Amino acid sequence: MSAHAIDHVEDHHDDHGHHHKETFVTKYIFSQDHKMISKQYLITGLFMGIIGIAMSILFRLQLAWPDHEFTIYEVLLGKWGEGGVMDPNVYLALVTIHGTIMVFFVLTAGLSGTFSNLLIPLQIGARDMASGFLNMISYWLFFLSSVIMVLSLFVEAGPASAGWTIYPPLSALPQAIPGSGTGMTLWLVSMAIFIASSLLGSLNYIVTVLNLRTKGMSMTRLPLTIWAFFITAVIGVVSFPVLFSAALMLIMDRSFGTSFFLSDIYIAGEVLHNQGGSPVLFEHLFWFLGHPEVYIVILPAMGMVSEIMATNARKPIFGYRAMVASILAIAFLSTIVWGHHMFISGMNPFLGSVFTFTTLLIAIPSAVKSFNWITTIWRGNLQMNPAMLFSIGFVSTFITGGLTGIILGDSALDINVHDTYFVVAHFHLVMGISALYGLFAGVYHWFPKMFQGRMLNKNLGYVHFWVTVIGAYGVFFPMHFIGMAGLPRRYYTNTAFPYFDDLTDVNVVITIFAIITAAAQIVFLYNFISSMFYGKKGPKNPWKATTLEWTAEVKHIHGNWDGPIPHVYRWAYDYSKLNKDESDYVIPGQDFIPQHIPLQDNEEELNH
Amino acid sequence: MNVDTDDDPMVIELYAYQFDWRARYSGEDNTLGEANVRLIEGVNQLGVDMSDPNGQDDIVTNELHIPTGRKILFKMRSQDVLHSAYMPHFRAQMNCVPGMITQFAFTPTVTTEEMRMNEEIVAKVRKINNIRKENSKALVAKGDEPLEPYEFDYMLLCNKICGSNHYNMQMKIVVHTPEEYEAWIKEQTTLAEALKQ
Repeated sequence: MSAHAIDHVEDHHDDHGHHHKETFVTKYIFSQDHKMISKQYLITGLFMGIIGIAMSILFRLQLAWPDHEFTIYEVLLGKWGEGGVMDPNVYLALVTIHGTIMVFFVLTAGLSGTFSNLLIPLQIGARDMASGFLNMISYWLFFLSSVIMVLSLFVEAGPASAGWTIYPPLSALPQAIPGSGTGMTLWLVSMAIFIASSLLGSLNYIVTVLNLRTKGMSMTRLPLTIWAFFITAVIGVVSFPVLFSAALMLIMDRSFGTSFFLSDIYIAGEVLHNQGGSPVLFEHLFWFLGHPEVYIVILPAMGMVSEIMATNARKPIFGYRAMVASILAIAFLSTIVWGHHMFISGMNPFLGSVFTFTTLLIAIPSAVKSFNWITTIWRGNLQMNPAMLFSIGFVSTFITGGLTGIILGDSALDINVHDTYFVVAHFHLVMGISALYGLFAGVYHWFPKMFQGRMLNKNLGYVHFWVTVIGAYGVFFPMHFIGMAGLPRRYYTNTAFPYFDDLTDVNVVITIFAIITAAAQIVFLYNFISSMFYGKKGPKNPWKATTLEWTAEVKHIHGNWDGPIPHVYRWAYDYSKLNKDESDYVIPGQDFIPQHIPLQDNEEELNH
Repeated sequence: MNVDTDDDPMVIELYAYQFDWRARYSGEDNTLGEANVRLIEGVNQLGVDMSDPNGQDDIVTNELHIPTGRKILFKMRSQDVLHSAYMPHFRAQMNCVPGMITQFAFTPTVTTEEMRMNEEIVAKVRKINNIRKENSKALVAKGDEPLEPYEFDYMLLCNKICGSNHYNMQMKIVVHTPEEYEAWIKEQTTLAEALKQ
């Protein structure tokens, strides 16, 4: 099957150029080339990221100086910031849309969409995705959903404001909060389109990895990036449809008078007719996606970090099969832990103990991965370029954030810190910041592959890394303490009553770090845009890596390789491998052996 | 939460609505009367079914007073959207879900008076009052009233996003000795009496 598919693509490639001419529209807009689609995903994701981070700065200003009047509110929020005072409803709208944009639009589409598209065909040795057309549709549906989400910011009653988890009845009843009117309708429409986009993309990735691998590229020779993208796509296909069902039922409840999630409600002076539904049902459906979703976000970052750390430590990845097995274990476990978001929802407490058990099991594969990353760089010949630094940063935040997960995953310990800033600290570190570091690591590492050999500026990269890593810990580390002190999240101000007055200083510190960290991202954006056009051109294989993408043409051509597709003879991690008599590297003077180099005479074949 | 009812807990309902709390005591019979939002009318703000004999002696208050040394079984209800009854000092929290009754139980051990003597609380209150004194200076300079000095009280907070006033949806909790509690509860009017007036 796979050989046949490759032949077919090769045939197609041989006579390409004879019959279709690229126009501006087919090359840059409705492109079916995976490299261009990957760039489209990245740039859309970065744009959404700018909106999401800007929103976080606005609500951080409000939390640090609740009594101060900021003209910037009036400039950016218009009637919701009149006189420099932020409206409480728009505060909730900001946290809602910040969460939605960062989780779905930046870290799902921007991260996995970008790198799955770029790396799957290049690293498995394929001319393109299994279906270039579906791939194009997938991107444009994502673009459409982004446009609708951004448009929802401009409706009269305000955008969705029920939290990114949109729990009904708050999200179902415009009487409860103005954002649950047109704003929530647009949110749901945008997410429904987003889910369609994600499913099309995921199916394409799965089919491509299974069918289009080049000769010799067995599943156990795949780079860990591909394993991660592949399993991420599988989780997406399993869980996103469940969110779709929840969104559909919520649409029915909102617009067609059904009672899936509503019962016994008296609001705005009248009793609603709805009877028999349960908001807890929505929570189950939402978190059946919502929990796998955090692994959809983090797995691609894990895969890229594994690859980048091995390359820049000049050492084989430690425990390749254990890495693959732990990805599979995390993917399986991710679908049976959703109840840990619902310990105090009114769910049967017996289920709490079951979900505590399954949740704590995830610590095992996560610890295996952390251990293997550390042992991979242990005594390595470390190349401290920005991609490597961000990868190490990833391991750091993943461990810091993961440890608090053990507390939150326990149904008894969770009671006291549920929905406090402790949770905010936990998930931002373990999935938000970690996945962002993965994204940055990936951009620094594969930028030359995206932009025809141009490299990002290394020194600006160092500035970006160090300010970001100190700033991000400065933002999220203190949140652990104010959370333990009992400060609830999603409070418009913490000074409405005196009890939390002594935490104001901490909130000021957090906001200052947040502003500094956001400013560091401007350095990155400048570096990104200027290097796109004026970046220094590096060698074809700038990081001396073993994987196939660095054998492809530097110039982007449809079909990736000008000649035949390279065949694969070894795994992806032959770094610093010595020859049989241990007198030199296998290829004298070169500490890596790319995957397409056949077994050498003086080389011992190892089973990994 | 699983509650062992063998040790005869006192039953109190916590009732949440946008954006305030009510407590309903189950009275002499320690049994709450049936209630439904469809029965909300005038003074009967919690929709208690007044044809139910168990509801006659129920007592509705806007502060939560509880005695030490006896297990309290809270039954949570919500009138409109999801809320969460969060009592940080008791490490207790449970969502209030429209359409169902959730529960949580604990036994208070330290009265409000004793807690106000606690070293850590004394230090915290002193710190907060210093901050409030500083802030008052600025207010007085502007011609406004200075801030009231702060005194410690237990509190019940809403901890599930519920709308514009979510950040200020709270109720005072007072923990008494059993004797003080008995005296306090005797002064309250039952629902049946309140409806007659």
